[in-house]
Amino acid sequence: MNLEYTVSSRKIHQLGDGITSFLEWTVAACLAVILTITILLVMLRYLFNTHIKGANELASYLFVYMTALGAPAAVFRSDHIALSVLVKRLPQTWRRFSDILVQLLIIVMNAVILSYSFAWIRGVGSFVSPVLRIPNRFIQVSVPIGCSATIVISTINILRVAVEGEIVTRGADRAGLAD
Amino acid sequence: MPVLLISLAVLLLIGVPIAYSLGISGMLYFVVHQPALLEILPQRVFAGMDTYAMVALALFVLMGLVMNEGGMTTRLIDFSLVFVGRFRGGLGLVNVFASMIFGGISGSSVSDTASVGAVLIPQMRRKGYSAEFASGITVASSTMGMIIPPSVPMVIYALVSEQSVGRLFLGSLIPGVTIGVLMLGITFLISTRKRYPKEELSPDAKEVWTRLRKGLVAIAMPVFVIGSVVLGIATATESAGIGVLYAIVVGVFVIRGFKLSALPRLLKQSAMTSATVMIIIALSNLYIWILALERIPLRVATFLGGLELPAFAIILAVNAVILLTGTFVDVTPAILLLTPVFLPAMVALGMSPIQFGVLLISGLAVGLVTPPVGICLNVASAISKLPIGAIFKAALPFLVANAITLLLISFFRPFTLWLPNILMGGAG
Repeated sequence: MNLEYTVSSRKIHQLGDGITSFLEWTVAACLAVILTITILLVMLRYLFNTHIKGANELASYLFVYMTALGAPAAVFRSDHIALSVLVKRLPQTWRRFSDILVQLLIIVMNAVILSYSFAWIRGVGSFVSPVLRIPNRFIQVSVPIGCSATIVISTINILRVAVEGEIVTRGADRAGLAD
Repeated sequence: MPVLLISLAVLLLIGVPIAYSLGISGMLYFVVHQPALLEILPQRVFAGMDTYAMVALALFVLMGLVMNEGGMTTRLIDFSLVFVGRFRGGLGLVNVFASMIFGGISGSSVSDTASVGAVLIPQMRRKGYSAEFASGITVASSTMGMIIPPSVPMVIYALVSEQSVGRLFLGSLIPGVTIGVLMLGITFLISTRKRYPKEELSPDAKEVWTRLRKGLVAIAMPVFVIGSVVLGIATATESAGIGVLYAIVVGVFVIRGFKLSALPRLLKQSAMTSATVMIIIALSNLYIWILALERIPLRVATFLGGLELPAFAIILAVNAVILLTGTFVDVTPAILLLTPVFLPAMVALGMSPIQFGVLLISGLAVGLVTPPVGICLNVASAISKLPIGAIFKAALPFLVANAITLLLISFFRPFTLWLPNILMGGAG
């Protein structure tokens, strides 16, 4: 029985880790492209007095995807900033209960935004962007994609707590390099 | 409004991440008060994410990471030794001096504590400094990291308050340097009393020049980044991008401590840091929208104006609120929560938005070194193995520098506005 639990929990963890790694490397790739565009635009402006049409627009869309895909990855790694002072003092059983509650709340919030996002995209998604003339839905769809990924990751987190008894919300103790 | 505030407090206390606490409490507000507006939620969240100016945030974080990875910390410490090492308490002075420069490179207090602390805390202990003194000075001086430009929180404040990044960078320069100078004085006084050692430096001019040269290439970066924004050569985002390129070139070819193979990992780290900050900004958009719907900024301004208290008492009270908030809430959400509430009231009292921004961020920086959630304290505690209470106690004498600077920012307008006005014109 224990062996079954270990195997299944390892698979759950591996699944979450796999999805998270994919999301993390995708956002890293987005940033690499943004960095390249930013440097290239400055060089082109000062060295050749020219620019790439729509490059800034592309960078801003990639940045939107960076946030939408990075947020669920941070849920799995427990990198989101949180107040963990009180929760850390709870006994293990209560801590697990609190972990599940937190993940459920995250799921509910994302599910609500997800449910309303389809109507929003249907309504204004066909408008095109000013320079690249891309229909807005291709950028707006980052919201439901991000919400769906977060729901999947939070569900995996609940399974990690329920099956393995893992503590999945570590709080903000890890150094937030933005501060 | 009580629905928003009570639910936000409960969610934060049970450990829901700040971003999602803001989102859920905002959502609850709409369910109770304005159900018809619920369908606009995705649009508001998207608007919060779709902020091109914030690309600078990810690039500034990356710039700091690249500089640090290239072994910049050791070079800065060597550089600082040349200037202040020979005085009583040399390594303590180096700690403060290096943090002043490091602040201009990383724009992050936490990164400053981790990098400078990891090198200097063990070194200071070996030289006979108490572990408390070494850790206290490290965390206190790291508060300059997010005040001395370029600063990531300043970019976030600029977005929320719709102010110029260049003006904010210039406005925070004198306050940041003042904190450093005052801390150098405090360190010297304590070191003289405790007879801490001086550092012996090689008189070899060639060696001194090598230390200076390697430090100077690092110092050139913040000068270039701030200069390009202030002079209008590049936007904040572009200057951060060129800063990253500069950091890579210097790390690979000048300092030779940076390996290009580390770049994907650093890109991932900075992209993830940016995403965790941006999702707070996106979801706080709901909260800011509710504040506007409830006309809270106007009500706060009217309330403070009707108190019949002198302006200095109200400004002192706002200082206290900022310090208290910083003690419990992280810097980014604190900026997003406090700016829309207090900025209009402070402007009505005659404070400039630039002055308030520098005040807000300088006050919140203190929160990083105060228990129970001071992240810098936790980092220093991990390095020195001391309890955070002991480190905080040792940091207190140095925090006098922050307190004096906060008062100067609050009540002496030219302290923050003189430099931006003289270099960028106007009377912001």
